[in-house]
Amino acid sequence: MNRRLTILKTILWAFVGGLAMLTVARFWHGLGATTNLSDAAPWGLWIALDVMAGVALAAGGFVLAGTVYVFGRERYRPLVRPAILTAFLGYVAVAVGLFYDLGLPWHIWHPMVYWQHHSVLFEVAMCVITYLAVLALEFSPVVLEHPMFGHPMFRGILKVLKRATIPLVIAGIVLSTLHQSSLGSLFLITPHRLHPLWYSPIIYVLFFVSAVALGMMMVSFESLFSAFFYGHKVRKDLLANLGKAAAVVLTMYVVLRVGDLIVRGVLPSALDGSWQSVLFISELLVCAVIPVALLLKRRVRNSVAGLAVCSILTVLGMVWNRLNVAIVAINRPAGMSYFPSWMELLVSLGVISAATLSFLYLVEQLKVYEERARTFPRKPSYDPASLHALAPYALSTPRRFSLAFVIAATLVAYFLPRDAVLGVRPTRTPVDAVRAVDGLLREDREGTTKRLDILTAGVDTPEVTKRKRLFMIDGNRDGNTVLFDHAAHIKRISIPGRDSCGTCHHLNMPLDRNSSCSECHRDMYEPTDIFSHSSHVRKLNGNDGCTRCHSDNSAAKTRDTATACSECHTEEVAQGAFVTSPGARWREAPGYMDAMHALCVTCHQKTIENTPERAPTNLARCDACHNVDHVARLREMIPSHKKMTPSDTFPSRNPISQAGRNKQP
Amino acid sequence: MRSSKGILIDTSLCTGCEECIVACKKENGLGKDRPWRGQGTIGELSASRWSTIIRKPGGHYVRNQCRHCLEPACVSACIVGALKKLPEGPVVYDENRCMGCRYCMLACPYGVPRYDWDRNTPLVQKCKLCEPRLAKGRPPACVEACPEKAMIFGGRDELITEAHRRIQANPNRYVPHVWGETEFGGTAVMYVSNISLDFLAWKPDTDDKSFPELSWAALKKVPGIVVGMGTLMAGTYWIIGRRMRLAAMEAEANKHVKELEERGTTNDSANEPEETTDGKNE
Amino acid sequence: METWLSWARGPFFWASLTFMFLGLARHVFVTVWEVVRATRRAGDKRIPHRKIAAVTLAWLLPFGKIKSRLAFGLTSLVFHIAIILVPLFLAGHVALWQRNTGLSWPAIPHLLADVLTVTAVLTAVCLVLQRAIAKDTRRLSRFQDYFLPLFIAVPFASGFLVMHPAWNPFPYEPTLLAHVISGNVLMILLPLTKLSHCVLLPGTQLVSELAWHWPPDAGSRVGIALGKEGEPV
Repeated sequence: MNRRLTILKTILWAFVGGLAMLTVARFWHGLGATTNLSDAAPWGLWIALDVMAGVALAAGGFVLAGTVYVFGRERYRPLVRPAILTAFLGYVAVAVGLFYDLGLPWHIWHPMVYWQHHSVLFEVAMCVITYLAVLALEFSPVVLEHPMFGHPMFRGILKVLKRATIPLVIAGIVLSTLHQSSLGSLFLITPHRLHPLWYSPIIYVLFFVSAVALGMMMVSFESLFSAFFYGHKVRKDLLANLGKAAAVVLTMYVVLRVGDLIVRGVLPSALDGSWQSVLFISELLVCAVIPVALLLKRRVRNSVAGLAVCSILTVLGMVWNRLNVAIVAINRPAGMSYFPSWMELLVSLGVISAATLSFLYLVEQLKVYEERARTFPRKPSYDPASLHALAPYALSTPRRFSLAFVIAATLVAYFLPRDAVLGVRPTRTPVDAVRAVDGLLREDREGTTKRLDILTAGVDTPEVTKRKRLFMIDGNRDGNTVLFDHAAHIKRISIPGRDSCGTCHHLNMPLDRNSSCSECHRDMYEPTDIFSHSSHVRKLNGNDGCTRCHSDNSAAKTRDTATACSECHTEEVAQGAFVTSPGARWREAPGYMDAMHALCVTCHQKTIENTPERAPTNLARCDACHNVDHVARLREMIPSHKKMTPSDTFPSRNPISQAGRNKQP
Repeated sequence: MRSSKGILIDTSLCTGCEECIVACKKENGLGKDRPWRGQGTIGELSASRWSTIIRKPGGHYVRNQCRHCLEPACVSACIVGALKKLPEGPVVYDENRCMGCRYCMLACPYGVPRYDWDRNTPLVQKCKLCEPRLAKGRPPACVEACPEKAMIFGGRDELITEAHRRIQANPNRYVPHVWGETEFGGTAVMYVSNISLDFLAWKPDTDDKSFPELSWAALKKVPGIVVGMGTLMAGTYWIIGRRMRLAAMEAEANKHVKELEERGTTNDSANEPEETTDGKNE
Repeated sequence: METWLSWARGPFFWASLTFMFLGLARHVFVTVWEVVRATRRAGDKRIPHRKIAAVTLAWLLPFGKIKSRLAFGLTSLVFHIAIILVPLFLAGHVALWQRNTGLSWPAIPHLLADVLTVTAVLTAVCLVLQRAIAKDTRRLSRFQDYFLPLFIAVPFASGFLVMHPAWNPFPYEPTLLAHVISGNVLMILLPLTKLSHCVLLPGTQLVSELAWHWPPDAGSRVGIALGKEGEPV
């Protein structure tokens, strides 16, 4: 085996090793643990790259088969087998990629049973499944030619298959036409999501034409690829002609694409300098315009480097196009975005690597190319007389590849995020500390409704206002905060002659007699673990103190077998506290929101029961404390606040989509 | 769809007390809201929150939930028919059919369906209009729970009449539009409001075309393509094959003629094989 | 210190665990692959499979060996039992697995664990001493052979100190860190050193038995092929 090939295969095996590790994480802990997919981005890289681009890249199979078998262009026959093999492995990779992407992959067979012919996706699925079978049949003669299948039964099957070539090829063309175009039709139902530069009523035509061109360029890319690695002679004459044909189809594509924009009247938005327009223009340049310009030159067409550049440009450009349609140019709710996680990217690369390795293996074992692919001679079997066997280099390849596999898997394991190893945990929403602000107490003339507000310059209202020092409490709902009159509460609750902080501040820490709530209730929604093992170790004089909590020496030293906190910390719960018992095992403080609601709402409800005349300021109404009208002003006061945009709303209509829609028939 | 049921939400009556959300969570066993990175704020729709209230400045509260469209994009998008529109109104989900492609989430014009991203057996999560309760003749849990009667449940036609009645009775209070009457082919959950609710959908003023029509425009061409493309390819094959056969026969005939001619003259047979291959290649 | 601990228990642990499992699996795979290829190449149809299986099995069950060198064999046996049982079935370890993955299995009693841990440390030291004292083994030994038993003793000793803080002269957290890190390093060393005999033992025996039945000189070729040329058997 030559050096180039060994290096390539080592790298590919490393990717497959990474894939293996990620497979465990993906299927153990689900999509949320390994991907950046979310409700805002239901489709991500796996659909865009593995499915949409994968199917398009495999278009070479039907294009070449049609050219040779239907149109009788016998010259291209040497390119047919590799093209069909690429297509077959491409579709297998699509199916494997889908397996990762589907939420319930073991239901992948459902479309075959539960038909739903109003769904474009159903049509795509059925065509892909059938075409996969057709490709398998189209390629199987190559397998059956192998001496291993010398049995007369296999010879018989081979004969039948060869006779069925033409119907198979025609079926393949029909199926490909359908699903290559339908992958575009998938987005017909998303006029609200897809940017008008990509959304078009004829998107399926664009997808089909681009797939044909891409198929041709992919065929030349892969023959250059195997020529590079196996030292085959490049059939420059064939590839040049193929390039010429591809240039024609690509020109057609450009005309259709731009013509469609003109007809729909969206052309101005392609030139307005927005990021979408830049994206659109660069995509069109890379996938079609530059390759066509290059391919029209005879000198470029007839050189290996020129062909390589053109085919790589087209392949990258068309993949880019599919990514744009499926991910980049998709509208998302305000403030939400999607960028694939490294694990998603690595899974995609791993699947592609596995497909490439299969391609290389089959090319080496079978007669895919006219020239034999194996560049090293078959070693003689063991000869006891000459003792010639077991050449170390032949044996060293599985060692090398498996080592690459293991090292890559280990690296991936090291860099796996916590969620991917232990499952998705809720994200932390830190609580902002309470801060004091200058505020107002607004009261209408009758004194029935009272309302707290922030002091802003030039207040002039019919209400009676009183200046107050207020506390601003983080009330994170939709970026809201709560204003709290601490002084008034002290006045109302305090009992003369007694320190009554403990009424509300129920777990006063020894050094800080009125510690703030967010000291322990550190997360807005989730319970916080407030137990610190190391500080207890320090406080209890290191190793000597272990038995204070872990008294049972016959049990494992875990939290559950240790002494309850409340047994030692008896003084911290103040006399007459409103929240009396935080529970025997208060290592977890409830979320800030729950804690505050439990404190404020419960206490106020009690007050209402005692003094029913104060009922109108009942705290059961959310906006008694969470006043939406404060949001704008409060936002200016805490610029660092993380989640200030209410994002349940959708972005305002952009002028581009407006223009595009009006011109649609 | 005369018997189709629906909900009319009057946002001017809503006080944002969230009793409906509590009732919804209880009815459907949804549990606590848990924040995670895929979510904007915790108050949004999520797998554990099928309905929510959007708070707008000025003390306006707008309920957000599945609209149960009359011609639902999600139902037409679903590859296996896991989502179904029942004649009584609800769009319901069959978790035994779903394979988790999430096309419905992409298709929904309101962006309603949510997913269990944190589970390894995830399901699509959305309001089902309390379909089991409807079957027993009871209104949805949220409607029943509303202390302000901001939601009413009933036949869709009666609800539309009622909506217009309210707008006419109080033209100063309401924006003169019933959201859901015609949008995307009409929805079962409708709104009358004192503020504009255009923010609830990506395209508030579509020409009221239902989304399934858009994809059907392409899908209905499929049989044509199958027949057309099949015939075209078979025809091409036949014509080109015939031409090649004819060319081969002609070459054969030429060869014979030549042979006959050459039998008398000198031997010059070097050209012959080339000629035949040329003929085949054309 | 807390950061280091969470690193050693987190990514470093996962990576070491992965490396151990896959590395050992790779050893098995490569051995099987090479044995299959070698037997095929050898073309010898008269390989006595039954006898080879019997000998391999006899090797795996160490009773015969113990008889031949009683002291060494017994020490080794006890050592092996201790180092396999304790890490897998210690109640504290089982509790960690249970808390993080939900997997759980029965644990051994605490007292037994303590006894086994002390035994593991003592026998490890004994093994090294025996190796150093006996002349023939000393001649065959490399650095690895002294280092590995002593290194295996480190996580056991530190683990014992963590469990029995009253006897621990060092602070708690550094001891725990030493325990976790040495355990992780051990897992990494498993596939890289001769510790891989834990999975390779049946295979190695099979290979050498096969080699005995090959034509003259084929054995050394297998050795070359396995990349173990010149290494002590």
